Amino acid sequence: MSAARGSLRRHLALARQFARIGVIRKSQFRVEFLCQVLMDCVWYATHIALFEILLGHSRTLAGWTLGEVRVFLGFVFVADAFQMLWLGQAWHFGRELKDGRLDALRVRPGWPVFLYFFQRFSLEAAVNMAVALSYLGWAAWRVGILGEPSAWLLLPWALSLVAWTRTVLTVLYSTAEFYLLHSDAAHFLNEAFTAAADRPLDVFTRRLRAFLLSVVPVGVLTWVPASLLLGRLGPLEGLGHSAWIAAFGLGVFRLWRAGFRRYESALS
Amino acid sequence: MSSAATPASWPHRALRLLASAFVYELRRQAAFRAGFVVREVLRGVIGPALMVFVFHALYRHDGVDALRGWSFPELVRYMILVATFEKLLFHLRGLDLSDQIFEGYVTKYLVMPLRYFSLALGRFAQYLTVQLVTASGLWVAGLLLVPAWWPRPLSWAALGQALTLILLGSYCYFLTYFIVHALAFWLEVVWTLLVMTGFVLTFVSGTLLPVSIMPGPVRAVLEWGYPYWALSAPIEIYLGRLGGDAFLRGLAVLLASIVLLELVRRIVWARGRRHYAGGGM
Repeated sequence: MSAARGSLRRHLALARQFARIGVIRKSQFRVEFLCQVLMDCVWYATHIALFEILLGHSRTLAGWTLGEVRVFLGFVFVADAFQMLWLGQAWHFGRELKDGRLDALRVRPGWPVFLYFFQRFSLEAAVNMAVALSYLGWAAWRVGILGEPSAWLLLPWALSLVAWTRTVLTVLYSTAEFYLLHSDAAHFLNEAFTAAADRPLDVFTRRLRAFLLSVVPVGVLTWVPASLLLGRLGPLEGLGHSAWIAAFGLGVFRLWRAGFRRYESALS
Repeated sequence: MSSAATPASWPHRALRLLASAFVYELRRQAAFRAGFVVREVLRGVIGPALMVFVFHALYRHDGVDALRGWSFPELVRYMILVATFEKLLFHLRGLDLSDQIFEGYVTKYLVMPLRYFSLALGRFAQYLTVQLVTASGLWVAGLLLVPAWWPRPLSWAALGQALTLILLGSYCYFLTYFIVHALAFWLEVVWTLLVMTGFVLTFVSGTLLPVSIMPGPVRAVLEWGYPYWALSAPIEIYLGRLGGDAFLRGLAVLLASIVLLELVRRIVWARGRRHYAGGGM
């Protein structure tokens, strides 16, 4: 128990160092900083525009009202901002694996998954996270759920699910690169499955929905948190999904470590 | 002096360089087979497929009969054509000019007796060739597998007009991305600008939904831009929703855009070269 506490403390200290370095790197106001904030805002705007246009023609989308879709989009944006904030290094994984730049992970004092994926803290993404949380808060206020005490209990739960699931999925996609070198498989899987999580899962058939909740659980990234907060999903179902994604995540991390054992420097 | 020993004239040299660049780019793309399939074959298929589910939900569960005159089967055909034709539009990851500028590699090209732009054009030609083959394969496979749903062109003329607009539009995309890459002469990072440009082009070209479904004022603005004529309008021409007059208007917009973008490209390139220190960032 004390060993686990010690390990947690060490990893939190590492996270603080990654954040400190990230802040120092981006502390000067540069065009790049503004561009990244703007880039994500443009991405948010295209999503908002798409659903606002579609729901201008219909009162609901697969049973979701415009207000509910906005709450859902809030979680989509928070999930994206979390990826940009902490998991930006994942975009370089395929290239670094091919070029044999992962040697240092073998000797550094920490869990390789954490050390690799959390090393690039992005200060500009913190601004995007603020934008995403503001939009989520505004959307939740518009549908009138912020006044309910239960919402303040469900919100931290829902946001924790977003952060955990985002990390698990990012690691899962990158595992494919160990077996399909220089294939962009991680990018493709991320694009394919995360794009599915950008729409309420109710638009899909029952089988596909089950697949996206259980096999590649992108539904837990956005649909489950939004449904929990909106009361479309009961706490018991929420607990079931949370337990599954927790166990799934631990399995994914073991899988990644097994893949990492295949790494022999300069794989290209 | 024999004619074989005579130095080739400029157009011959430029064409030879273009052909060599084309062959090398093709070899480079095909070197990693898994990556080739993922990048070139599967790219751009998922987004339209997901939108089909969204439209299906709207029509099946939410009581929508038509979206500004589009029935569900028509929207499915539109999305199939997006998945097919969007492949032909030059992709933001098709060039690596900004990396070459950041790392100083571009210097070696600048001191050689050749136009760097010819190398980029070689890559554009390779991209189009691969994507034309991929898109044709996808189209034929779809036609054989689901003939009832697969969209056939209204006529050969409609197919020709649509392809002409898409190929000209692709060149506009290529010039746009070249210009954004060339901003690396001044900026430290341009990938955010590239991705942002990609997001905007995706939306305004009608990749997510037909531009004609968008609200009137938005539609009126978008019809003046080349992205609309590079994808959404050609698909409507292909399906017979727009006529020959639309083709002529699209041709005019695209040709004017090419002239304007080429002018901007030349200015940015010339000024960037003057600003370039030669050693990368």
